[in-house]
Amino acid sequence: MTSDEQKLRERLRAAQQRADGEAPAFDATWVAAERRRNKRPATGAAVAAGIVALIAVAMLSIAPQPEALNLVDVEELVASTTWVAPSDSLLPQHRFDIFQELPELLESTGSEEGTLL
Amino acid sequence: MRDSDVLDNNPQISRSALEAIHDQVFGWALSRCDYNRSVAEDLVQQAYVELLTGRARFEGHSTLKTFVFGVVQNLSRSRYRRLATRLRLISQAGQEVSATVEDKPADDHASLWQAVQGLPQRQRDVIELVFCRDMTIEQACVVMGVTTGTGRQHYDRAKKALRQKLGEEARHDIG
Repeated sequence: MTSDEQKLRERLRAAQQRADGEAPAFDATWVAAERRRNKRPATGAAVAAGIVALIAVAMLSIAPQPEALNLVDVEELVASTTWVAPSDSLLPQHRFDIFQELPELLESTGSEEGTLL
Repeated sequence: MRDSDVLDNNPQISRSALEAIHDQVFGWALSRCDYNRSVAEDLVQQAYVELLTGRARFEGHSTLKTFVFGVVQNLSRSRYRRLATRLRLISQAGQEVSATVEDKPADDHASLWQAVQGLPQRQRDVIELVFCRDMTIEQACVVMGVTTGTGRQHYDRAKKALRQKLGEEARHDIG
């Protein structure tokens, strides 16, 4: 190191010391740091719990509510229902589904003395 | 190192060792936040919290001083960056209103101090660490998070710039 550099270093160090001033007591800083360390997890946990609670409340308010059960009386339901077969309209007079006599579909199906022609 | 002195989460650090470098750590923290004392105190406290909790764990790869300076540096870069920018803006505004600045060296040191403060950030940092905080260039580079080659470049440029500035001032004074 040259003498110029040494002089520069000394001057700069003196200037830096003046700028730094007096540092706060180590003990006070240490105690404050310990206090901050102890406080930190509790504060963090409380904040986290608060956020979770807020999210839960928000989700509950947004989620659709389940509808109340609407019970149906079975007998009433059966009495109120009807069923009509699609082929009912083909039946004579739309009523009977059993032919009383053998229908005559074609002439060739006519019978003579009990036998089909 | 007394057993009771050792930090639970950082077995390679003792409280007494930290106490021995406390003043220098505070000085470094001060220069990280534009010489705002309350912010620097907060910064040092937070650095100690990092050591107490073991989030910043010292493994003995460097000196304790280098390590703690690095912790302060990293904290100031992340947590205090916005605050430091705000403080700088406020300080600049204050300087425009009044030319007098508190807590800054005066008289014969003033010109040198101003010359150093006028350097780019990394040049200023390496000069402060090597000239004022008794570090080697290699240690300064670890604190600053740059390679030794880059650190040396900043160091050489800073010295050159300082010589030039101080030389110009001396010529002005004589003239």
